[in-house]
Amino acid sequence: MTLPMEMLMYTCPKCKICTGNLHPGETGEVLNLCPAYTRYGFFTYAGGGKCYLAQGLREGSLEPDADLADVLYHCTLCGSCAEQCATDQSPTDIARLVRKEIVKAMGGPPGDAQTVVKSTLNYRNPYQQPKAMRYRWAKKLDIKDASKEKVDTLFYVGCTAAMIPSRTHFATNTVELLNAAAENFGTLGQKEICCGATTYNLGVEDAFKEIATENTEMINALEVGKVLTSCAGCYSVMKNEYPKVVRRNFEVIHVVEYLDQLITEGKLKPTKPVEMKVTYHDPCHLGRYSQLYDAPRRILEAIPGIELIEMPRNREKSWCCGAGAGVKTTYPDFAAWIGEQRVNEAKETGADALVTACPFCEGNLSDVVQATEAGMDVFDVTDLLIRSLE
Amino acid sequence: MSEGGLQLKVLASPVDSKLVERARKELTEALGEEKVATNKAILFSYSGTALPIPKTMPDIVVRPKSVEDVQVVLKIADKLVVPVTPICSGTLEPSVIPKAGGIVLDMYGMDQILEINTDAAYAVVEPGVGIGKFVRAIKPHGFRATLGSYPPGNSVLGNYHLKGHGSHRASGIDSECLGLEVVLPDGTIVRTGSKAFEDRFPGQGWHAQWGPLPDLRGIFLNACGTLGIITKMAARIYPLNDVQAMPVMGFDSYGDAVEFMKIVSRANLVEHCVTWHWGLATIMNILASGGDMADSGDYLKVFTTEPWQHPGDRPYSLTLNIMTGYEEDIEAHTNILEKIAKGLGGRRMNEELQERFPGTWDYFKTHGIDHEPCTHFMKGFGMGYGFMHILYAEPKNIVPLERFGLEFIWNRGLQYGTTYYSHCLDQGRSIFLRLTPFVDPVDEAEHERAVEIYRDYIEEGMKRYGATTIRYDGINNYVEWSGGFGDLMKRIKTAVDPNNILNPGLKMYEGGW
Repeated sequence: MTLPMEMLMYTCPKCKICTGNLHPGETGEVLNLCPAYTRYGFFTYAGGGKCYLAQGLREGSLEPDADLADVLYHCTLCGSCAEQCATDQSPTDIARLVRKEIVKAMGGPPGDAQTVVKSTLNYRNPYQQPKAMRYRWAKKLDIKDASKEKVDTLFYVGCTAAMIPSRTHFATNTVELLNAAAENFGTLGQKEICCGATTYNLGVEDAFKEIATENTEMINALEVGKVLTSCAGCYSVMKNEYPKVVRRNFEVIHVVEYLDQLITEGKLKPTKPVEMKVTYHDPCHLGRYSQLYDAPRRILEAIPGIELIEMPRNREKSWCCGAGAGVKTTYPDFAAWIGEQRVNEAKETGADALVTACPFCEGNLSDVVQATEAGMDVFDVTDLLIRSLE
Repeated sequence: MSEGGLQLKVLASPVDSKLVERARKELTEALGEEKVATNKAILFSYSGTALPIPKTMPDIVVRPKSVEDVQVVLKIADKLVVPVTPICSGTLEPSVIPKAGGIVLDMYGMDQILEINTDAAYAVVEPGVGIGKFVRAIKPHGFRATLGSYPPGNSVLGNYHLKGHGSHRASGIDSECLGLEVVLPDGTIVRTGSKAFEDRFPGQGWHAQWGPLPDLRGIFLNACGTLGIITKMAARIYPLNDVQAMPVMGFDSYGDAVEFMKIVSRANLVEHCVTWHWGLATIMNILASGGDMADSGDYLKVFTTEPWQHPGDRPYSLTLNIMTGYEEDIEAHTNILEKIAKGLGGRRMNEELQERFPGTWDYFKTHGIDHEPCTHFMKGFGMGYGFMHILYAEPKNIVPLERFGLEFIWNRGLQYGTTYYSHCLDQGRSIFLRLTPFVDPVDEAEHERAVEIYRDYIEEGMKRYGATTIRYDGINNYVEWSGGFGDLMKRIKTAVDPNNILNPGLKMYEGGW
């Protein structure tokens, strides 16, 4: 039974299962899964606590003010509480609902997240970059313009891979791999706009609807059939949330799904050994939000020389990277703390490198590695696959 | 979100704001900002539970990490006379609602398993150790704990201290507590049982509940933090043994099931037994199977059939028997159980249960064979499952009380039905009966009706059937009802907590809310 959200608000029994791997039958150490609860300790920060905040707001006992916003936005919306909740409900959705109320009442999310929203609305990217910057990564590449010629697959690059110099390898790698497999694909070039994931996660409902509609209509008109993303955030929001706003005529695929398929079909042949012990970090939006756990692991396992070692917190029970839902922008110290826990966990496996499949995760984890001098490489799955191609 | 519907109000803290500010300042200076919260949003989630009891805002929430932290908090609170309400897992107990405002002491941050003593078969835990963590820690040593049907995040100490249901052999669950460490309002540390001599003889373990002086353990159990803050508990643990078994017997009446529980527990054939009313067993089947409760025919059957009626297509009562031991022993005992059940018109249900009610089976198995805390029933909270009408009585009285209770609640007009489970305590000297009416969690009028029904049911049960209730609920005046006992408790309270800072909002010694 899916209970109405209001029921969940009032029925959280404070069992605290939202904070860790506590389901019966689990073995081994009890693992902390909720970053905010683990860091701050007060129940309010846990998924169940968010249900109580929603109650308070609903009853008028709490105002949508800075105090409430501070707790609510100290959360990456990683979805671990929803994954664990014994009532099979989603405290994450409740938290998102309360964020919407805060935005309505306060005119926007707290702190620097406001800038992100304004930028997304004004520039159609969260980084306050002019449109021209969106295609700079592809300057020397010959890529079809999907708005001008018919392609089978639209590569939707995403703002981070397009505009953050240290993350453009997500875009260039994808292009290189698609070319290696002789796929018929193109991009929207400078016409591409933000997917709206940040506005969605920050609770800015109107902005998200506006962007989702604009983006979907633009892509619908291309009649491409498939849209490929290299960002877990873009993937999750386009796949899972767009259909709730607007009719969509295309399938959304993440690059790891696509590459996994190309390897299976023999179109990509990773043959060159890459001698490395790696551990894989599941991006929340790829894993818990979209149940995409096996494809990235299959790719890594297909690369000769790679030894994949799992961290204790993996797949459904993965620990967040710390960057999501506005946390890196609004509370950078908290984002760094979450990331540090993850990097430490990765190091404890004995792996040489931490591999992920999301530019946002890679960004935060790389920042932590650099800041803490952790002595560990951070890669995207595509970085390693490319190395393995002859 | 605030449009229309229920308007449940949270009550304001009665503590003077200047006093709060002074307490906040002193606590922050002593403990650091990370352990002290005054953010209103943080305070709100400590104002109440899913129980249909009005919330009250605390003024400060403190998360101690050590006994020393607890001493600091209590000394400051005692000096300033600011109320302190301790909570741990903070679930469905009235005692965790900070009715007097002031400080909520969130003990969940003290979460260490301090000792697993396999030689003497006990473990020492801090309040924040959840039952899931506990079970997982002792299992590799070949041990299990006494479990109720509570979920894995719930505090072991909280449950044993408040007499969570479940028992082992002759004990009720509070007997699982071997000893306690308690901090009094002036910061004094008290240890009970064999550990009382810790200061003079530091090598003492927790092996015995008692010593040469009167057993003070009992006055802190069920006291809901009104006499001291419990910071450690030694809990009994039991070997898992070679074989774990769970024969389930079906009966056509509750009376037969009670007779069965009495016989088999007195004959030491089982470690524990509990009887499930057909309604709750059916609900468990739906919930634990992941089925859609609202669309289920069984769901309608539960909520439209008078609960005292035989359901026709399944036994009225299912008795779950928990056993561990040597293989030959378990086999022989199982045969005897079956023989006793047959003699009472019952039958063994294991195969039928697995086939027809796999969710119920899975739920029972989690407890009875795997010895794990369960999560299955949590989904039931969507139906307002949290309200508990618990009485226990002698066997001859529990059977008529069951019928009386079902009719009493059914006829008082709650929207949904009522069902129950029933434990055998202390070899059947006493039988625990928890009636479970389902209360719409977002209907305020229904909440009020539910509280009235609860109050009346408990009083009638005590008056007519010689029953008693299991823990303090804040609703009835047990201190006055208990005469000399209540008077002594009042005197003890005054001596231990002269400023009445420990959970005064519960009004345990003044007759309830």
